[in-house]
Amino acid sequence: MSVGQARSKWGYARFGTGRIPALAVAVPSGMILGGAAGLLAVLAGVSGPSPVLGFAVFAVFFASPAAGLVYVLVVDRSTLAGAPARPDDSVEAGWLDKAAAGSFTDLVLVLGITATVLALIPRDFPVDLKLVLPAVILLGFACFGIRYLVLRGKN
Amino acid sequence: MNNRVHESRQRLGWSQQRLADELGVSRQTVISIERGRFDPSLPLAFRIAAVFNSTIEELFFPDDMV
Repeated sequence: MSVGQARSKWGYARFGTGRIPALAVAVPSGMILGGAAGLLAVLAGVSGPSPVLGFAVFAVFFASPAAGLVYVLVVDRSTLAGAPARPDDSVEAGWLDKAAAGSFTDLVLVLGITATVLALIPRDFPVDLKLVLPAVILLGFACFGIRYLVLRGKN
Repeated sequence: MNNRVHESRQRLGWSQQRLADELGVSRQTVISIERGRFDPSLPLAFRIAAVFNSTIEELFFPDDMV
């Protein structure tokens, strides 16, 4: 069986002429990156009063998204079972484009209206950027997800 | 845009998944095209026509044409 024919649920990562399961790359990489993030948190002094606990919390919560990111980067989608050969021609690509464009409009509208309202209120609002920026990202994800689901439901 | 993809597929006795595999797209794409809710790109329309040994004009036509 050639490399191009074999498919699996989670796919493979190709390195040169060889290949290994993508998860075998992503999971250890995610754990290493999580450990690095935990170490960085301890060294930066943001791990709280208990360095060990802080290291563990940062490592655990960084490991999963890091593993996911590595998986997305290394997996060869042509080795994923059921993946269409031409995803750009599929209807889902159109939904993604429309949802992304719509969520950008949503973000501009919401942030613009909020900024306008706050500018008209004669009072200062001390804000923590560590909370505001993730909130904006979450808002973007929410708008995108809702729009995508609505488009999918219409079809 | 209306189309005769459903009739053409039925004539060959293919499932939606079989047609999707032939075209290299998702089954949902075939469903949406057959329902007239998704207009395929020009390259995809050419592939559909080729699969059915037909032409784009025979398969796809504007809404105001019967």
